[in-house]
Amino acid sequence: MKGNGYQFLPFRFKRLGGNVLLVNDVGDFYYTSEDTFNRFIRGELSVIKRSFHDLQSKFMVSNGNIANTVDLIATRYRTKKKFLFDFTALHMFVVTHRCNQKCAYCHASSENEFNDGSFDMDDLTAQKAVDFAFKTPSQYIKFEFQGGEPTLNFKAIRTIIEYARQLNLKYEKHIDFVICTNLLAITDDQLKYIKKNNILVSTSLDGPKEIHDSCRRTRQGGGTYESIIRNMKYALEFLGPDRVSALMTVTKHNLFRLNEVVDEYIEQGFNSVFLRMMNPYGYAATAWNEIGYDVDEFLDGFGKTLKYILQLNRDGKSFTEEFTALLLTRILTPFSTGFVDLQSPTGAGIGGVIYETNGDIFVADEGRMLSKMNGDKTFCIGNVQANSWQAVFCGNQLRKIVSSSCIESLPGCAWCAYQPYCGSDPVRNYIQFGTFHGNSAKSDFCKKHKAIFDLLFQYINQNDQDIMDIFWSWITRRSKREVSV
Amino acid sequence: MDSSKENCSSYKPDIIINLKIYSTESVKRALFDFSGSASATIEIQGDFAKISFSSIGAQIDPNVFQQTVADHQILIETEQKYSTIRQIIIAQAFFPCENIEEIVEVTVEG
Repeated sequence: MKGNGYQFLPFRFKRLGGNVLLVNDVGDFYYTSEDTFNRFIRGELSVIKRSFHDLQSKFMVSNGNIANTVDLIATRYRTKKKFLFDFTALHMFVVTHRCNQKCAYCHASSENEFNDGSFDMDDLTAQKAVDFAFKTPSQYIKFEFQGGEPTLNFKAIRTIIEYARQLNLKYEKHIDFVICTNLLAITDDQLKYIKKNNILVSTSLDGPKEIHDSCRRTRQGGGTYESIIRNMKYALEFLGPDRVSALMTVTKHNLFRLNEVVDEYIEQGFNSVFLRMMNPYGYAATAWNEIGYDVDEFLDGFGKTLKYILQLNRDGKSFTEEFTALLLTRILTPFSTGFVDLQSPTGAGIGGVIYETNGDIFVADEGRMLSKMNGDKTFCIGNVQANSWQAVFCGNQLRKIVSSSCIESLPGCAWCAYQPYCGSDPVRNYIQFGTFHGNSAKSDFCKKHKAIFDLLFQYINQNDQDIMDIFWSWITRRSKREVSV
Repeated sequence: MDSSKENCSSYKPDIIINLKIYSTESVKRALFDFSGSASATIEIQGDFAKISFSSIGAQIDPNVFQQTVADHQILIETEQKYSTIRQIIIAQAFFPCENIEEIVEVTVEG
């Protein structure tokens, strides 16, 4: 079992840039030469060598008390998987299907804004959904209002918030409220209510006017940029800069102009952007030839934009790419980062759920979309009016979805060096491959994440202190000056 | 390991792998890794496996494939050396035991 007096501890490895990257189960990593690696795995690395001590300090090998080391790694493992203890913290409410926009890449279903209330969530369903949300064991819960355009059924939002506040007198949970709105028709009264109830506003901005208007249009086909910018500025001023955030979707229209998107975000007063790849669902699938791209094109754009953002930071402008910040937190810190779209087991159902207007409970918005597209309710795990919390969250369907999403036991993922930082998306797998576990060798999801991890490790392994200071400033949400050694 | 060119217009190398050195498991894992860009058949002939690629979307570099098999062999062999420890770590993470030293002594060091 032992070579040269040492015991291997669990690790995986990957050849990268002429060297070898070793990563253990809790995400500690060590970059070494092929020669050192070869001696290490043959059991020929001298225990008095610095490289051995480095590997020992990264919990990849032990030549002492294994029990103590195992206990330490187990504690670290528990910390990394802490998101599992916050069972179903995110509760998304589709308060209406009506929308005043018809975006080219929308994967939700949307109905005309002037339709009657049959596309809205009613009060009884809203309250039943809140009852469900409060039964989660998590002490922290987040309520997110979606649509359609949720401000078109603001009555349901008021019902949910007021009922949640009432229930919380008993449950005493920490609750955050977020409204995902295009801000197109937001009113003063709604903004006052949002401020009074400390609701976060998440809106959408795809870039400068020409880019934004290329996909985000009214139902009549007009551009929305000018209205959005006017209302966003007002919301920022009225609610405060830390209460409004924006998300962007990468399409063919902005993929090759992402630097301009970054400049637009800075212009509008934001200090970060999340470069979000478009999912090939709903309208986006139909319009793929017009607005879609392949994963290699996305990766090229992502890499160039990350380089541009890093240069902005080097030049003194604090600006974060949020997806990079999330992955860096996983790579460089021992902490858990629950991100329902990329965790193992999946966040679908156990990290977040979405309540349809009729009370159907889906494990993810993409699962809801699938049902709208072709009636496939595979990802519907119950209904707030028809089922008990136990039947929904302890049921066979959720168990099947979750157990199929543990990448620790999936082919390809099981031996991937990036596994401790990665996750799975069973809904995407199901749509692409017809199974919850999918096929990582043929998956763009896997290709994208592997390439981004490669890129980040190339940056990390440059040993450029300036870059590392920028990365740490993103992780800690502090200025570069504050984190500089 | 050895590779040879087939006599056809597109380059589809057959790769011969010595199963005395590399396990079939490592060959299968490598084939899985490459299954996104090619389909392949594996034919066992005594102590050798003959891999024939077909339907190649992207060119398979025999050297890269062979390195992948070798890397999987390393992973499999090292996994065998720490698999018990990995199971104890996961068990200890979610159901911590007071007598971890005793468990390690019996299952790993014993």
